Amino acid sequence: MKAFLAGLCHETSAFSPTPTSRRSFEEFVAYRPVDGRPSSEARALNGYSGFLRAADAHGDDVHVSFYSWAQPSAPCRQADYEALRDEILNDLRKAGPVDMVLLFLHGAQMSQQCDDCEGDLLSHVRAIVGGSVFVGALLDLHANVTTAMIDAADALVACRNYPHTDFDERAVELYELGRRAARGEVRPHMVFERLPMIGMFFTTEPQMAHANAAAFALEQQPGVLSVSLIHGFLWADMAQMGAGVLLVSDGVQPHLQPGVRAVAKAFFDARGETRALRKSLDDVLDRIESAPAAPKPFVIADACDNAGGGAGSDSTFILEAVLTRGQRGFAFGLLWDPIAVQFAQMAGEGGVLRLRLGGKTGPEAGRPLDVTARVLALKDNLSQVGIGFTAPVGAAAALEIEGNIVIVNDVRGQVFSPTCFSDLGVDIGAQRAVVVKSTQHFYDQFGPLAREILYCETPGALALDIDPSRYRNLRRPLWPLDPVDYTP
Amino acid sequence: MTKTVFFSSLMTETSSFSNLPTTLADYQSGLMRGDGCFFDADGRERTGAAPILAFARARGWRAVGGLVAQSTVGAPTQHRDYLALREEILDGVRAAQPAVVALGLHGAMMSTACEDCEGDLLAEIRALVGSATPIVVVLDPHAHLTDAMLKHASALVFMKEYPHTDGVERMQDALAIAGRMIDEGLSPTPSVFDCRLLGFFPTQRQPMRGFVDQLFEIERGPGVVSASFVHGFPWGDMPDAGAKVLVYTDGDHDLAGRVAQSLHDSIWAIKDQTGPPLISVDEAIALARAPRTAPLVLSDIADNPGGGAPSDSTFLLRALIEANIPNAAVGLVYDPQAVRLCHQVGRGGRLTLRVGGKLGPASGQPIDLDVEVVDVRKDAVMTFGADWRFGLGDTAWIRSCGVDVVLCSIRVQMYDPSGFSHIGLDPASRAVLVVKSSNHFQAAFEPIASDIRWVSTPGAIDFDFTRLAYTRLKRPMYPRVADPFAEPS
Repeated sequence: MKAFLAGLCHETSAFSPTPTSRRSFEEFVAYRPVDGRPSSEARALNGYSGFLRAADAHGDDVHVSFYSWAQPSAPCRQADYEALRDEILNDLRKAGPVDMVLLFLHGAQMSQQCDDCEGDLLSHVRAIVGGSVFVGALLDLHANVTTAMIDAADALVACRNYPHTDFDERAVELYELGRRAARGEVRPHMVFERLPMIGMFFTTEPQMAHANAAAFALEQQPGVLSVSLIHGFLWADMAQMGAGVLLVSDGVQPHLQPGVRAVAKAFFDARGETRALRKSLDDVLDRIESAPAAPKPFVIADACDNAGGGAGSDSTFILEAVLTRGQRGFAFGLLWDPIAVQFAQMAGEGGVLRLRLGGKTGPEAGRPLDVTARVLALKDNLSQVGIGFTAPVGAAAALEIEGNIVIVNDVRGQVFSPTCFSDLGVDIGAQRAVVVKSTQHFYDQFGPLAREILYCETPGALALDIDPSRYRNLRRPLWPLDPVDYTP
Repeated sequence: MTKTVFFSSLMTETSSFSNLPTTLADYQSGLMRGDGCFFDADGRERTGAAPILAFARARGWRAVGGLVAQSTVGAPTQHRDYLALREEILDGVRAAQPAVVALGLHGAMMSTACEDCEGDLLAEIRALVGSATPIVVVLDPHAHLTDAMLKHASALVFMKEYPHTDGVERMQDALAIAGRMIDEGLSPTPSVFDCRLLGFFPTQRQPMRGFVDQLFEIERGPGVVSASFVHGFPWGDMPDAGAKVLVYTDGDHDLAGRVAQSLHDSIWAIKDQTGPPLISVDEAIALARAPRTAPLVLSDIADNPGGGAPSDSTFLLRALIEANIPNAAVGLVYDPQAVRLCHQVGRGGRLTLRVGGKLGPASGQPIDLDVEVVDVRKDAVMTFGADWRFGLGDTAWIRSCGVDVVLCSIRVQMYDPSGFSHIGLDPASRAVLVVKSSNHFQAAFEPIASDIRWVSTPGAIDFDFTRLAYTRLKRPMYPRVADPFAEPS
């Protein structure tokens, strides 16, 4: 059995202030094999690791191509996207005839002239390998699944958890599915049941956990190869943006339709759960101010300024409010501010300096704050490990500002791991509250450390109250913009 | 036992309106120690050392060098770094056990925990050498004259010229006073007149030239040991800031007071005629509207990085955009974050960019612009004259609302039109050029300019002293009040 692997992942926000180019794909998580064969480095990459573990177990012949995750940001320059796509396609041609093609894609990637990069890439792959070779893709659940993707691929499998802790397990499942298809044991067929809703859906909450359990139960039914809850990515401005349930069955199985709809209904019924978690900034700070002392900190998700959703990661709304209210004992991270990092390096550890902090990427970052800061610690070349990735943090500084701590860094990225704080000597357990610029992925490692998790709504780039007038290609009706219902 | 004259120097001009951190690293360039203070690596006598060596030779003494360190203008020096510098100087004094201490100080140095570093340093030295040992000091006139400085120094001699070309002569004056103290028992008796004046006093042009000549004249007169005009440093916010007259006589308090008063009267009479000729932002915009065949060059005088300014202020840029001035170019705006985003978009790309206003309050507010990235350069270089090459880091040329802006990633002032042309922007073809430089740009921009004007912009080096947000300087000061002497100080 001969398999070909490639990975090209970018969650594209139509409204991100951060542009995207080839450099964005080369500088975050990027791997390029020397001779088309997987190295030990390839085996450590999220997604590839599961594919390769399964392949090794069978003794399969594996060719690998470029693998990259770019930080979420605006649509990529067209020529750059095409160059990366063509690099993968050329490697596929060079690999010669294969039995299966397995791609790790995001599902919500756009370039400046293409709303559906995954559909485009999968169609090109199909054109090269022909109709009989298995083509499958592992997706982020924040995918916008299109008819082009479904037409071109044999099977699409999305991760199940948000935070996305299960790419590796899903990669193994997809590989096994593809292998059975390539051997003619099954004939994958896809059905996508769309849901008229957009939003964020945390699988750490009870109703979404129930929907996930329903999907898993359906997956155990005879004739079912895979069931994925597709959450959609709401900051993509495209007609096929949205949520749904994706079934991969063994051949056409009309009798599964009621089961798919029942899962979709459970998903639809959970739609308001995550939204209800969002608290206003004042409510969050009031709650912390009035709470008695405790050995564990509150963890506040600065959910709207998540670099992992394309935001600038330098908004100042929460910090400004904490300073204005005179609250103390907060630790903030990671605020992307290369100039502040450089100034802190100039002042040195123990140095005191006046800084203009944050608010530098655009209107959605709020106002820059003029503060006096003491440099507590400086570090170079930091990284963090989260949901299967090793992500660069870069040079960072811990700053003390009026009894609070702010971690600034020079590589824009969301907070996955408490090491973003502890690497700079900041003891999370000693804080009253820890504010992380992340929507939900922080939950995996911060959840166990938290006294309580508070999801804070701010006017940042990723506010859940989307403004439909900014979209040109929104297909209505859609919850929560319109009153809609879903009946199986 | 051979006696010793000890020399040391510590100089920086601290701006309260700059937030560029000043640390030990900033003092490393040109740092000298021991005999290195007097002789270069080839053993040649340094020009500045001549008065000290001459003083020692004439008396058969030895000259001992301590630490000579200086930093360009910036925010207050980190206090631990000031203490380290002070301690090295004090170690030198302890080791030398000098009969005379001769110092070169700026007079406007602040640390993050001390707003009068010179007063502090002089007190420490005085405690080491005792009350009888002459401590004479040459200072930059852009200084804050404080009681502590007066109390602990035997004589403070301020340079009279700006540009400061007379450091050697003033050290001769200072050591002459030390010599007379030893030989004649001279007792330098100071009188200070607080002019309650904030100003800027270049000394080449009249009427300021005549005032400096008057200082020399008075020093030649009977009974006067030394007469200094302390210009003050308006960008240092501390209680003693401002222009002052300092006159020393030999024990004659009345004479010192009379002379100081007369010098004050002289400077007061010309106070409105000393500064550089500046135009307001509104006047600059009016000039920018006039049709012309060669560029009007506007110096954004308050945002010169060579003077500790951020080089990313947005005041003139905003005015150009709001006035819809076509065919204008602004450079060099320090904004590495924006440059990075422009490089990601690449040539010909468009994006919404938050430009400038990122280093501190002196930067003004950032401007949100829809821009076209006209071009980008990696590791760009600005040339200046035959010998100078200034690295700009990555640069980007953006265009919005008819205004072109060249952004850079390394803070450096606009010395030369190549700051524009390196990226393909032809400065000679623009109607208006805004340069973030106050002086150095002149030589290279003059050949392409139809007119050069200096604009009184807000910012780190704001020349409109009525606008500066002082919190520590509380005395009534001209021009912040029309008659500061009508109010209690």
